[in-house]
Amino acid sequence: MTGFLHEKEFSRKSFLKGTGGVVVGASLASAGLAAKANAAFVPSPSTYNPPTNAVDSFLYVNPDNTINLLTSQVEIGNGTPTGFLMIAAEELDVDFGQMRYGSSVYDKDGALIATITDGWRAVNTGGHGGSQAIQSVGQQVRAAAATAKQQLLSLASKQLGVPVSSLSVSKGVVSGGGKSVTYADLVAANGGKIGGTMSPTSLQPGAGISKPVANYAIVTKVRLPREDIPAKVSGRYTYVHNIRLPGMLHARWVRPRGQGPWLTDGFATPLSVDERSIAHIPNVRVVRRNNFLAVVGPKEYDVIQAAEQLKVKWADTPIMPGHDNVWSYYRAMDAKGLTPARITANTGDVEKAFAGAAKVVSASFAYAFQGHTPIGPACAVADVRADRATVYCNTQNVPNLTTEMAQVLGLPANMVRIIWHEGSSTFGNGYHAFDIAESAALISQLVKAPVRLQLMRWDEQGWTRYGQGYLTDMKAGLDSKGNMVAYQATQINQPSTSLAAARVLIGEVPGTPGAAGTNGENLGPFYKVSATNYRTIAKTVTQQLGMFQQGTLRAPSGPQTVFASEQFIDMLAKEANMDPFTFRAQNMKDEEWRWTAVLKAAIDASPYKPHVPASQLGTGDVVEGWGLAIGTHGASRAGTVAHVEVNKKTGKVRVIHLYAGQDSGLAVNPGLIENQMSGNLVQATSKVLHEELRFDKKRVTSTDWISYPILRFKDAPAVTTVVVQRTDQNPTGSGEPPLVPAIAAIANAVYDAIGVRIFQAPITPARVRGALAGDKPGF
Amino acid sequence: MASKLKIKVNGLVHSVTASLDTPLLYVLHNELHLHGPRFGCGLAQCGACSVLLDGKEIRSCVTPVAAVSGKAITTLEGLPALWAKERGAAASSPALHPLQQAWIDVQVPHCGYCQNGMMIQAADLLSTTKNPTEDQIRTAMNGHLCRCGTYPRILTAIKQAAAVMAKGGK
Repeated sequence: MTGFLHEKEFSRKSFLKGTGGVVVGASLASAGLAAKANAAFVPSPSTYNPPTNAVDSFLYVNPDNTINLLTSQVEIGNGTPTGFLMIAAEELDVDFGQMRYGSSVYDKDGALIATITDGWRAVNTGGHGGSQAIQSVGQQVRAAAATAKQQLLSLASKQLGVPVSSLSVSKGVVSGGGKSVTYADLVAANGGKIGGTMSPTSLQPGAGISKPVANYAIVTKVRLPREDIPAKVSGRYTYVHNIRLPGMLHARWVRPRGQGPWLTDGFATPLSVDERSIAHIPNVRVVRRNNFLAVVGPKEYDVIQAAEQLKVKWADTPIMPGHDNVWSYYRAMDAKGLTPARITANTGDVEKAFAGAAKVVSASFAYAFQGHTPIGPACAVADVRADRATVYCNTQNVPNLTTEMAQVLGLPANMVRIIWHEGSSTFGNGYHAFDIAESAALISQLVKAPVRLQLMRWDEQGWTRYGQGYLTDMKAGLDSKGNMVAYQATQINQPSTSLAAARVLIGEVPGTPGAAGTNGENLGPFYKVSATNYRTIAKTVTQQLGMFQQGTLRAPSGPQTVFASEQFIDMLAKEANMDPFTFRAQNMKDEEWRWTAVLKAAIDASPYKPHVPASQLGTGDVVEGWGLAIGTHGASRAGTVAHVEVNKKTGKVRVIHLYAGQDSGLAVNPGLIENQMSGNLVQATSKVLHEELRFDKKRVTSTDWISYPILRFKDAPAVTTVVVQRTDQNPTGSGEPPLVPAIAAIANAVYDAIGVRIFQAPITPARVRGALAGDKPGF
Repeated sequence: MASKLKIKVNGLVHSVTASLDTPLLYVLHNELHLHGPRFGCGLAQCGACSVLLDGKEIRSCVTPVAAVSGKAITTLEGLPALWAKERGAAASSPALHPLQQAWIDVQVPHCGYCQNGMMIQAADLLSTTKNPTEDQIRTAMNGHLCRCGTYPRILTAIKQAAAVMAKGGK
């Protein structure tokens, strides 16, 4: 069993014997461990940013014939590192157990105890996204591993005196002519290098020099458990929150509870700071650079008390509309011409087609601002010296954070070492993207000591970069046979804010936010009408009108859009007096048959019976309904069936069961994809029923789990997931797809149950009761 | 004011120095370097920090360290030994508690941050309710939040662990 050692009892000796697993990751930090695991490799400024087309940038063969894969990708709770290692092992013909991820720490038995991506060692494969990882970086991994295999065979051929065509590989041992040699020995004899340049630098499965898919022994053949889970359930895993450095101080930033309007004094401008208010707390001090304010000290709880008790008078800029008025505010801005419009797609003659349609249907939908809100508030540990910086954090973009951090600290990029450790899942670029790491580094620079900055719950809830609220106006024309003949979608939202809050608070001036876009991938581009008479319009609420920080949140813009677009399809099916699957299939482009098939896969896994929506209303206070929808983020396709129960008296919706099909091409490790789908379905239930950011005129007021409720255990749906395996297709993303259609399927099921449409998300009991009482949406 | 205290964690008595009102969580993490209990909210709203106090689940983020004096604390790291003790099998203690093994078998965690509290709460439940119904599990677990959407798999894992424990770990 794992030893539980008090720090004082902990010794180097006990670590080397492998008995101190719980504390090593923290006490010695990761750098020393990574160096130990790869004795020959010493990360340094000169190993930063290796060439992106060199095999040796991606793969490192250790003396024990294990192999490290060194991309800049990270673990965000999706399990994609396991997928990357499977792809590499497949091409290299090694066992999965021989692969090592990045600069991660494994114990003496080969068990992962800390997942690490070291910015001084990783090749730049870009930022990490749940729907791009296997799809795009997987191709680079495949190209690197396939090229490495060729190089290693060539080295073996020379060493063994056997032609390449007569060599075979198993477990990283090359055999031929009665002789054999390990990859490790081949690399050692080649000056420690595999050698070789990837050309091309990306390979789809089976393409070029990569292994034919029919010969796969791992990727599509085994359902590998994630290698991070054993340490996560035993308490041995080192999250970024667990990192400790010698001489480290604890820090809390000091900001108002809930951010105020972006780029105004009300954002977080301290008008006065009374340092005497914390004079009674020992060894704690205030640090400040312009409006950036924090407290630091050696004892964490003292620092928490100080952050709580420090008297600060904050500026107010009461110009935000408040959460209850945001949609009328959008409309008012639009009426004043303050929402510049862009036509993002325009095919055919939409006006003429509306005029000639048998029926024209229109509806408006509103989707609330929502937060990332990980269970573990953001944390980073920074050690900034005069000439260099080391920062432990869980950014999804190690390469970009490195260059940004260099700017913030005034250091060359190769003197900034970002060491990524896993944090709590955030599902997009909240604080952990840049703000937490930059904030920790700024404090460390000011106090000239290593600093651990941990957010409190109110910081995390009140200061993230929220997923935007959307107002969507849908309009479509139908012919007499239930075909869409004209389609128009207008979306009003706000652009993302680029600069991390800490940089704004120290006085940097952000550029103008870009224009907001429509979410075209979910505005029915797969329906026939998109090729005939189809128009999408994006309207941007400009930045000076009281917005807060906004950024990407899982399946960016997908939930907001399908809540409108796929509920609207359900409304059209009702108008056409058709079953909503039949309506979708009839209107689907022939070449988009995979969409129809993936929804059919979900339906086939469920007891769904074809019917016109809300044509079989139940009696009594508690009624049930079924809903369908399709949607995605990225190149995959997902279809969902929702079965819900609605209590018409209380207005409460309970999702009984969600069924999802997903076609993400060649499915790498399908068991892992099923798990991701399951999480997506549960999270969708939370978003569409519960999650709504609250804010008043001055600031965000959702600051904990009471003021920002999420789905609880009692209300969790049952889930059924179907991976549609297509080994003849390239892999596409699997971290996000079914979240999107599940949002609309649940909404459609509510309509099917009660016969009244809910146009505003989240679908709260009050909104259901209001709709049943005949209230009309106020937007 | 900092005081010297003795607290019993996972069967060992530790001497720690902390002010009496310091929440237990900070002592477990910063002084004893235990990574199981985790800071989630500091408000007893989410359960990421849960530990067992004399076998009952508590929120270590709001429990003053002074309040646990003379009582036995079990963290996630201590679940295997707890299970061994329950079976009277101290010498051949298993590497993992049946709940932890079920969490691996069912592949429950995504990021895993909340799972400490989930397993601790489930251990509390199974210590009093050997064969819980689905409703009993949902009710017992309702005070623990997960953001990744693992509730359905937790339900499956608890049922599996209950079955294993009912057979004495076989």
